[in-house]
Amino acid sequence: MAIPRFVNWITNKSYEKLAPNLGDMLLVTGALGWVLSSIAQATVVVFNKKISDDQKKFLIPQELADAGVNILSFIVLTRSCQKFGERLVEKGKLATPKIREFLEKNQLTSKIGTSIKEIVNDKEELKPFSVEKEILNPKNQIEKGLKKHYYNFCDGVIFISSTIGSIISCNIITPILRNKFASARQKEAIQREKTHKEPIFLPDSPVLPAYNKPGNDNRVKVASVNVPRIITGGSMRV
Amino acid sequence: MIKIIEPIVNKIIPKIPEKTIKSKWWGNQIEKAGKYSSPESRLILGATAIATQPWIDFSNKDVDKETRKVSCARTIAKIIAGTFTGYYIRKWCIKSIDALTRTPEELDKLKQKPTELNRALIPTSLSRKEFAEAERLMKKHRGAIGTCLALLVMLFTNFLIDAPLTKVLTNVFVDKFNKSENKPSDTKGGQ
Repeated sequence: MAIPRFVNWITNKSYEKLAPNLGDMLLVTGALGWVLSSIAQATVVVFNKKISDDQKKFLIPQELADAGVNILSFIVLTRSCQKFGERLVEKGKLATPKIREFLEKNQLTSKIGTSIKEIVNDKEELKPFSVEKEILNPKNQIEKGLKKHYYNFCDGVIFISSTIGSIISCNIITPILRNKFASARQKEAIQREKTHKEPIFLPDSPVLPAYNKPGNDNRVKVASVNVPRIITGGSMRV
Repeated sequence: MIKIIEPIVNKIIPKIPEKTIKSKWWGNQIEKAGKYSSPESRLILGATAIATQPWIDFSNKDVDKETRKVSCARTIAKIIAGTFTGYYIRKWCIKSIDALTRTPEELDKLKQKPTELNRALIPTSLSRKEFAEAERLMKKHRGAIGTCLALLVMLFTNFLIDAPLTKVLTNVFVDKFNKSENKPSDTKGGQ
């Protein structure tokens, strides 16, 4: 079975462009996923006959806010937790006895938290100390299996830190904020509807002289019309 | 926003004291977690979501009791439907991508012959030597393609499975809540 050329093109592009920036890519796809899910869920709420109109006024903004707040809290909190965990391991602040032993053996412990001179494009530059770089450096004494152990440990810390971030952002912060947003929108919508349905009392007006006779109740009642409340000059007796 | 996070984290890290995880049990658990990926993450998030989100919805005093009830039922339904489909779609995507990106080492282990299909999503430029060096990038490559595939699949399943299942479950839960309730409902709420 021959693989179509466009599949090869997608594969190569993914390897060159997406894989090195997987974190950013996950953010974009995650955001798209939340938006899609919210649209689907909001559509179903619209067509659910068992849910009343007033409840829909809360549930639809709640669903749409869910995507927005989720994306924001994911960027702010989950990504921060993930980066924090990653950097703790990468900078040697958090390590296993095996990794610590490697650092001690190669006299690297004093370099933790400092910057190291590196030659980049024929120029000497100060780069922050990184355990990963030292493990990949052939000049250092590296125990067999240390590289795999380091990556497993690093991936584990990233998984745990990003999961903690996700739990706080998606399961605690998002529901609280989306409910606040949705209930405010619901109140607004109900208030707007009430205003529209409220009887409108027209003031004494030369346009309606017949109603300005003495003893006549000159209030003109227009029930339940979808026009904004009319507020003009003149005396409005309510 | 993403660019702001990095410098902040970099400023905090040097101030943190060094820590070595001496407990073997904890070390093993962290290494085990490193092998978990998005399906397991979805399960953990689903389990914690069911423990927190319905209570947050149920204690939302800004809406009346009826809306609170429906919102709570819908949240539970959405978590169940989302976790169920999310877990299986991710699992299926990872398995499919793994089957289409067999490295020479894996083929040797599985005693499989290289075919067009089991190497379909492997970058054409990589040689055998480069595979060994690019093991970590290859893992990320699988993650990238898998995520794209999952997004494509979810484009359909969100509308065809998740949302209808949420609707059915919401109505079931609302009926259950109504049946279990003996008190007359409070419709005044915070409006």
